[in-house]
Amino acid sequence: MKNDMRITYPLWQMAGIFIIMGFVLLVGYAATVNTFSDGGFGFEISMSGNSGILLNAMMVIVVFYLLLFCLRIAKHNKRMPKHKISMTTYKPQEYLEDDELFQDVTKQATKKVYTYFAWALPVMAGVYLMLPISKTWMIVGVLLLAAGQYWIYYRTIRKFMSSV
Amino acid sequence: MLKNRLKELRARYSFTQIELAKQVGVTRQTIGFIEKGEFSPSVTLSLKLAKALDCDINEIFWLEGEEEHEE
Repeated sequence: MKNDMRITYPLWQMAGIFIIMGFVLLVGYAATVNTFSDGGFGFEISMSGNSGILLNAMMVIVVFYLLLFCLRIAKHNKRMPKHKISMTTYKPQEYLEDDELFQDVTKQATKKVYTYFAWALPVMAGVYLMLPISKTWMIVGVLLLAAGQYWIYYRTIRKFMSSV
Repeated sequence: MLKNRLKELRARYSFTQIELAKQVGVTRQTIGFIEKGEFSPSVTLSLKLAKALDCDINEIFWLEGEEEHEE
């Protein structure tokens, strides 16, 4: 179980979210949106100086992340053929459903995530309504919310695994 | 709360947690958690355990507070 990637899968998801967040911030600061009076809008991205360097660095990180992610999945699938991680299924890969104990732990973790969203979404909607937040930071907020769900899920499973 | 004497009965048959787990089709961790009283198994699993240990389900599991009744 120690080398089971299904346990660390939420951390990989979080890393992916943080990479996307990097792109959002980069584009958010480098892009200019022009709204026209006759309808429609123009979207312009100017990559110069530091933005260009950052974009290249981000691309390297993405390639490195994807390579490492795919390698780890291949390693996991080879080691645990009964519990393969597949990108073609609709079900989240981090679910542990080996038997009724693991189903119960997964249920506990997903319940915590549900509770988190039940509170966090209305709070976030309220904050977005009341504060003048830019689109970039709104997206960053949503991404942080998404990362939070994986952290809660991971912590619950980790706590269980450490007691096994 | 559900109490049990799974560990004691398992020892009677000299089963390891892994062996018993294999017999009833669960993981070793599940047997460990049941023995520690941290997980209440389903009726199906309880019946499988009773069958594997060749005893009645009431010999393995009982409700807290019913110890006096059992004794």
